[in-house]
Amino acid sequence: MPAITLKVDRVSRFVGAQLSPNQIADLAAALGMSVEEVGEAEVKVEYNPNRPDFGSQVSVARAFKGLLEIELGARRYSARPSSVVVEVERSVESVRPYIACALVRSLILGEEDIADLIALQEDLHWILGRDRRKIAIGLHDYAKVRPPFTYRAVGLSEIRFIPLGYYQEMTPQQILAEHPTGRKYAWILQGKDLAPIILDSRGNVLSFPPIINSSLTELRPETRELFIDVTGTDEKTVNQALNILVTTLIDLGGVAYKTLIRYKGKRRQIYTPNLSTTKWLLDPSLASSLIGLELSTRDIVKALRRMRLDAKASRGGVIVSVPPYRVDILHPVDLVEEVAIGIGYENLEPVLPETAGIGALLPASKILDVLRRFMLGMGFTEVVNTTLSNTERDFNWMLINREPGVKILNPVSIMYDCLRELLLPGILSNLAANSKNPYPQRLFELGDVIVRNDTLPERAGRETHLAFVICHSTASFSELKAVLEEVLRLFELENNLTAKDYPFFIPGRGAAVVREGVEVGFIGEIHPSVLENFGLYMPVVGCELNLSLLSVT
Amino acid sequence: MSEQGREELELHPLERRVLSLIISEGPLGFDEVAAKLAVNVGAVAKAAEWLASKGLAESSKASVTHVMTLGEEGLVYVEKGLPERRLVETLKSMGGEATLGQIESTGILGKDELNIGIIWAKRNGWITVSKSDGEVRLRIERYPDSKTDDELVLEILKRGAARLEDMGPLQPACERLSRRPKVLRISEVSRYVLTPTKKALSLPPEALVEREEITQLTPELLISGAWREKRFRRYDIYAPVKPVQGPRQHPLTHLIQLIKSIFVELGFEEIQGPLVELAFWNFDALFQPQDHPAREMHDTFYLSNPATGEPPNELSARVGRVHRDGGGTGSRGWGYEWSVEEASRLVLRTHTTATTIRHLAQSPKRPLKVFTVDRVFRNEKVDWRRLAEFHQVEGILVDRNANLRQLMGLIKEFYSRMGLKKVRFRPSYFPYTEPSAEVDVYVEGKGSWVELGGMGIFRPEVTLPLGVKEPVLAWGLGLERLAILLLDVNDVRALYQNDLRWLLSFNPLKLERARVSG
Repeated sequence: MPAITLKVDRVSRFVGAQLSPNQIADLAAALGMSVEEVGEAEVKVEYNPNRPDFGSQVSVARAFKGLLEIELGARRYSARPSSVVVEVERSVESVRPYIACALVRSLILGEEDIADLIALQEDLHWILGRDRRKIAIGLHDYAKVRPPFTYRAVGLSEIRFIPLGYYQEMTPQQILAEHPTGRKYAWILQGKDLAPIILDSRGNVLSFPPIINSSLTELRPETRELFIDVTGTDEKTVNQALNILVTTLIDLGGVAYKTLIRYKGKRRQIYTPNLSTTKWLLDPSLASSLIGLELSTRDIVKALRRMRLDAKASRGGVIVSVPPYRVDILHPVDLVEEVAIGIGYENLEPVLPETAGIGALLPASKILDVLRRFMLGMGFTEVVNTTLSNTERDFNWMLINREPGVKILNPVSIMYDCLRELLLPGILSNLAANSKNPYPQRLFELGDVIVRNDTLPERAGRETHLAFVICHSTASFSELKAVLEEVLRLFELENNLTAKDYPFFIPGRGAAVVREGVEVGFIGEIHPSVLENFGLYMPVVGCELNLSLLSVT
Repeated sequence: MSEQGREELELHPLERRVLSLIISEGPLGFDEVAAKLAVNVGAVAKAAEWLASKGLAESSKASVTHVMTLGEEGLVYVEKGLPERRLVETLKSMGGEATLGQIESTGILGKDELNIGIIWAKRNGWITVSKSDGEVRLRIERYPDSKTDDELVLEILKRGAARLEDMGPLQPACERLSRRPKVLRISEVSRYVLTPTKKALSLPPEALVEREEITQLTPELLISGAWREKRFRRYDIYAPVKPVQGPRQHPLTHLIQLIKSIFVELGFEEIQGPLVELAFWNFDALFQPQDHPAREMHDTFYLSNPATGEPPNELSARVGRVHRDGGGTGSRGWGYEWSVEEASRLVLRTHTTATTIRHLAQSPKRPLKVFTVDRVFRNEKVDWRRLAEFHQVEGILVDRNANLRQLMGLIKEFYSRMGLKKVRFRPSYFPYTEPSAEVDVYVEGKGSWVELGGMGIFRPEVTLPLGVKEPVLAWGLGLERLAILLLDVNDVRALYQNDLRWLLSFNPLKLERARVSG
């Protein structure tokens, strides 16, 4: 989850009332943020990715003002007309087809404001931009450039400019290969031989999205006029990001101006930003029934206005106007949640559902409980191992010479590259880990293994196994066979052992458990090579049964 | 009934013998008892202690005596005579008078002995010492005809240690000798006397009769009934024994059974679903857009072999439309081109919601109340707080009138039955629920709130493509976080390490009592 640090003084200033750190924490939690740390001067919170507008302190304060009833309803945002034009050439279509821009004037940005903007930009890159792939933002000092602007894609060595953080001109090719930021984001342009570039009327480069800006337009404390570009692969998201930035800048005291985006050769031109609200109709009975409270239209309007949405009652329901920075409203149920948060979750009294039902465990669960009790009664202690496993342990150490049936593509840790197909390897590693503990050790596990099964839509299924081992200095086949026979009696499967060699058992000391010609398990004395592989220097006898083949689960 | 009243007198054989002796002979010193019973004094002292603890005898310090033994020099003098005696004998043999040099030259007394002899002979008035012409001369003044007291004492001690108190008129001699270095040692010895108490004296005689004691009760004793005639030897119940441990159920499966039983009590049916799952059920059917960060490689395990499966045809098409433009659900959709290839990829399910949504797609039963407690996977580096494989407690309730407050009530009831009575709900976000909530429980021991799970009402984008019209209450709670709280574990990895010391220390009764009392 994205994080933001709320400075007590700064947020209080924006809210217009002195808040305590605890008040800030409570307000943040009431809005669905997760409070991580409450300090004297600041409160650290995480916010949900459906609310990218919580990426700056001034917009969090905007939401606080609603809950504190300092300001209710939506703030009106608008952008004035301007003569700034951005020409979009067709060359960008195959690389990064969409752009939205805005101009914000009359800004007096302090250091904290700039830090906030940059943090917001980074969060938007991640949340909406999917690490700049879907959208990327450029913030520019407008005084350094002259419109109209052109958005075009050029050859990777066709143009040179000084990127941020450097003092010499570079081509896009060089930036992607040498500049740290270029190297970090080069993957986004992988396989494309064009570089998207934004130029001004004098041919100066503003930006090479989504990689880096030109050093020419770097923001400075004296920057009063900000030009914003948002480029990307999804037009709706591009506009959402721009709207969040522009509304934040207006909250910081700026005046926004529209730019005309002209898509060349497409006869398409639009003004951005579009700061109009979106209208929704909310049926009050939907809110009442989902929340579980009899809510009047008035209650709903009041709650929504606390959430900084405009709402008014009409014959068909409540008409809700959603401001342009809210990107999370997809369906009226999203407004229902706004109502619930506006009322306050702490004010929703939990009640028990009236829905009747007859409780039941899966038959398999009941049978496994019986088997578990039985094994405990036989003096075995239960272990629980993970399904995630690795080929080295489950196959190589066990001397099983085949590939796992299910392989993992992208494990973060080399500990896991397959799923277990037997329980025994896990239990052997448990024995190895317990070599300092007293003997005899008698362990069992009841658990699922994963088997390849191409007849299933998901190509792999679960099977439930039971495995048990005995380990001590004189552990013997007969000692375990006695236990197995007792287990088999439960299944009415006495006298079903057939001598068979397994790679992990000592030759001549292993047997298959066979039912109606199908091998349902095995028992044997673990081969010393296997024990060595596990780092185990104590004899072990082991048994594993496939309960699914015994029609148990 | 008081302990005293039904106390049965149980005496060790030695206790019985000692007690009989002092009852019949009156108070006796430990040494006397030891001598009479032919045991050592230590055993008597032990028996005296036991008897005292039962209120049957009292031992008291009767007297302090002084025992004398010979020292190193004393042992020599006993053989050769005291130095002063040997000096006068030598002088006598030399005619009653001699110079120091003459005496030395005889070699009868060593230089030190000669000095000591002169001092004591002079002090006894036996000799006089004079000096003339630079020569020291010794002369017998009074020859001691009979043995001195000192010599008598030495003679007595030659036979063994003796008590000062027994020496009568020789006592001053003893004290005198004790002041001479290494001749005679006097040490103090306390003497204890064991006296029977009134309680002991009023014991019935048969209490002191010796009877045969049984150590091991045997089938023979039971069959013959011979045990009736015998006594059972009392055991030292404080003696250490060889420890017996296990077997134990694993704490996690214990907890899972507990949780399952709670949901069964609340009228829910258990379900189960695949661990290897289609991205379709894990993500797409839950309205998670295909470029959602949770679907990234660093969060989700994808399979390389098999890599893809087969999502349900017709439903896929409907779900795809919902992602694109809402597909008639009243939603705007995510507004992107949905890909069935992406939905066909195989993953290790990242949440058990994949299983509840599958069930919801299949089950026409209304109302529907199902749950599952099962494993899920996240492609994360494992550390003390995070596992790559863990359990979720998942469920759904489908009913016409189901609502958020009921969902809160249900989850509150669940935690309350786990012994966690104080819960609170906060707004939260999941792509597939709206409204959504997070539940925190208050942990008394820690004095803080702990986040334990998420819940919400499935979005119409999720339910309508499945043909489900009713609200679906859904929740997914963490099992391991709960386990850590209830089992008092600091490192979540411990839950899967199967360290026998930890497994065998698990106290299921403590857990149950904590749960019941809350």
